[in-house]
Amino acid sequence: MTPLGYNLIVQRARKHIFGEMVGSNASKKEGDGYDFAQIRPYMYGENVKRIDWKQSAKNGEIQVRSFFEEKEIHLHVLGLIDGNLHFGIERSKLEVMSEIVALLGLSAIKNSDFFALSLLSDALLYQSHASKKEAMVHEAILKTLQAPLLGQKINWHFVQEFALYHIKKPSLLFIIGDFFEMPKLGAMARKHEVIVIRVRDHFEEKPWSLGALHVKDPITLKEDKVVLDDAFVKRYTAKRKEHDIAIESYLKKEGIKTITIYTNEDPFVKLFTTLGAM
Amino acid sequence: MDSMSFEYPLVWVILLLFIACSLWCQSKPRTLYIPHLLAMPLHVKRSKLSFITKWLSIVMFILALSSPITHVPGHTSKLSHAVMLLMDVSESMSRGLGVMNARSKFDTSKEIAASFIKQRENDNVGVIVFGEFAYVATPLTFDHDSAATIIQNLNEGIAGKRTAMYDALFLATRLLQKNSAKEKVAILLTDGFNTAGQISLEAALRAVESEKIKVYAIGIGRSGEYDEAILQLIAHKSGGAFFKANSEQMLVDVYQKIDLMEKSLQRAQSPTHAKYLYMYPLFVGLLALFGYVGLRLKEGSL
Repeated sequence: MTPLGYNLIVQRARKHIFGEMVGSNASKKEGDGYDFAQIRPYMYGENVKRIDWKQSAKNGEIQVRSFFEEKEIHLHVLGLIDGNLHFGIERSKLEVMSEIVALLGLSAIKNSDFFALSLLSDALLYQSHASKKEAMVHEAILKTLQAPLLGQKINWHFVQEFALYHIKKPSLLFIIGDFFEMPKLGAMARKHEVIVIRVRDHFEEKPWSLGALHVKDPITLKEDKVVLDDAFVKRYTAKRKEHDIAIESYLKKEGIKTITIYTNEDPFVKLFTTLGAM
Repeated sequence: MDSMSFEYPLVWVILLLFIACSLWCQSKPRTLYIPHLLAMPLHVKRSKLSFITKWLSIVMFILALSSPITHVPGHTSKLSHAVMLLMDVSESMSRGLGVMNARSKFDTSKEIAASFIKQRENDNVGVIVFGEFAYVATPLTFDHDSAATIIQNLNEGIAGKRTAMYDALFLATRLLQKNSAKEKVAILLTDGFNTAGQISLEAALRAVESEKIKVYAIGIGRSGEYDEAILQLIAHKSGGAFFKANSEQMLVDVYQKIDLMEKSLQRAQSPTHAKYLYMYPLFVGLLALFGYVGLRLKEGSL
C-alpha cells in the first residue's frame, strides 16, 4: 500500500525539479562539455575537431577551443532513521525527509547524475543501487516513507563504516537526520563531500508550556509523566541550545556544510536557496 | 475518653478497592510520542506532593465515612443514682461531736454532707430534714450547689426537739418512688431515737423494701445516744450498711465509704454515649483535596 503523502511528495518534487530548475552541474575541469573555458594553442594529440580555424587564421598558429568538462556526480543520500523522526507538529519529520530525498533524487536524475539512497539506523535498513532512472528515485521515496521508526536508534560507528567502506566512489554525500546527537562524520568528510541536512521541528528546540503530559520516547519507548511548564521550557531550551552549539562547532571544524529544514518550511525553497548560496 | 471505634468499619473495604484500582485498573492517559524530553533526566518531574495529597484525601474521606466514635460517659448516667440525705435536725444535734471537739454534731454533719453532695456529680440528690416532723429541704435535683447551700443554711431545732426518724424514712421512699434511677439510696444520719412521727417502723421498712431503697444509716455521737439496733435493722433490711461516727474524721470516713460503694456501682452500670469524630477527618480530607486540585491545576493536568 502506498503510504499517505507519497503521491503528493512525488508531484511536488517533480513540479519543482522539472518545472523550475535549469542548468546542469558545472565542473572546473576542462574537457568535453559545452561551457566555454578558453582558446589556447593546439597541443599534439588533441582532438582536431576542437581547432578554431578562424582564430588559427588570425594568429597564424593553430588554436583550439577548450570547454569545461561536465562531470557526472555520484549523489548519495544517507537517511538516518531513528524514532525521533516520528514527530512533527505541521508535518512529520519523516515526510519532510522523504520530500528532501525526492528533490535530491529527481534533481540528480535531471542532471544525469547517479543517485543512490541508503537508510541506516543501527543497521542497514535499505540500500539502492546508484542509478539514473527516475523509477529508482520513486522507490527511494517510498522506502523512506515506509521506514520503521519506533525503537530505532542511530549507531554512528556503523554509519561511519558504511560511508567509508560501502560507498566506494567519492560522492556528494547528503546526510539527512535531526542531528540532536553528536555525530561522527570526520572520517567520511575526508573521503566524500558531505552536506548535512538537519530535519527538525521547532517544538523540539523550544517546546511550549503544555502542562503535564504522558510522554513516550520514540527511541527507548519508555513512558513517563513530564510537566511542561515555563521553568521546564526555559531549562530545556537552554540545554538544547548549548548542545546544538557544540554540534555546530564540530561540523564547522570538520568543514561540513549544514542546512536546517524545519517541518513548517518548504524543503525545496530552503534546500536550493541554501545550496545555491554555498 | 475511651478508645476509638468505627460505626461503619466495613467502609474501609472501599480503600482496598482504591488500592486495587490504583494497581490494576489505572486509567490509561493519552500518551504522546515526543522525542528528547525523556532523554534529559533533569526534565522528568514527579510530584510526590500530588501523590500524597491524593491519597491523604482518599484515606481521610473513607475515615470520615466509617464514622469514628469514642464512648464518653453520658448524661443519662445521672439516673443511675438517686441519693436522699436524711438529716436529723433535732435539738440534740447541737451538742458537740466527740469529747474534745467544740463543734456541734449538726455543724459537722452539715459541712460533710454538703461536700458529699458536691462529690456526687452524676446523682440526683435530695435532702429531707427531720425533727418532730419530717419535711423536704430540697427535692431530688441535679443542682448540687443549691442543695449544698440549703444544707449549710439549716439550723438545729428547725423542726422541733424530737426525732421523727421513721416519718423521714417514709417520706424519702415517697420521693424516691417516682424517680427512675436504677439505684436509690438514702443516707440516714441521726443522733437519737425515734421519738415522734406517725409512721411505724414496720411501715417505714416495708416502704423501703418495696422501693428497693438502700439505706446507709449513720449513728452520730457516742454509743447509746442513738438507736443502734434500729439503725442496724433498717440498714440490714434495705441492703445498706450501718456506720458509727463519734468524731468528725469518722464521719468523713463514713461518707467516703458510702461514696466509694456507690461509685463502683455507678461505674459498672454507667451508660455511655457516642461522640462522633467524622468532622475532623472530613476537614483534613477536604484540605487535602483542595491541595491536590491546586497542584493539578498548577501542573496543567486538569
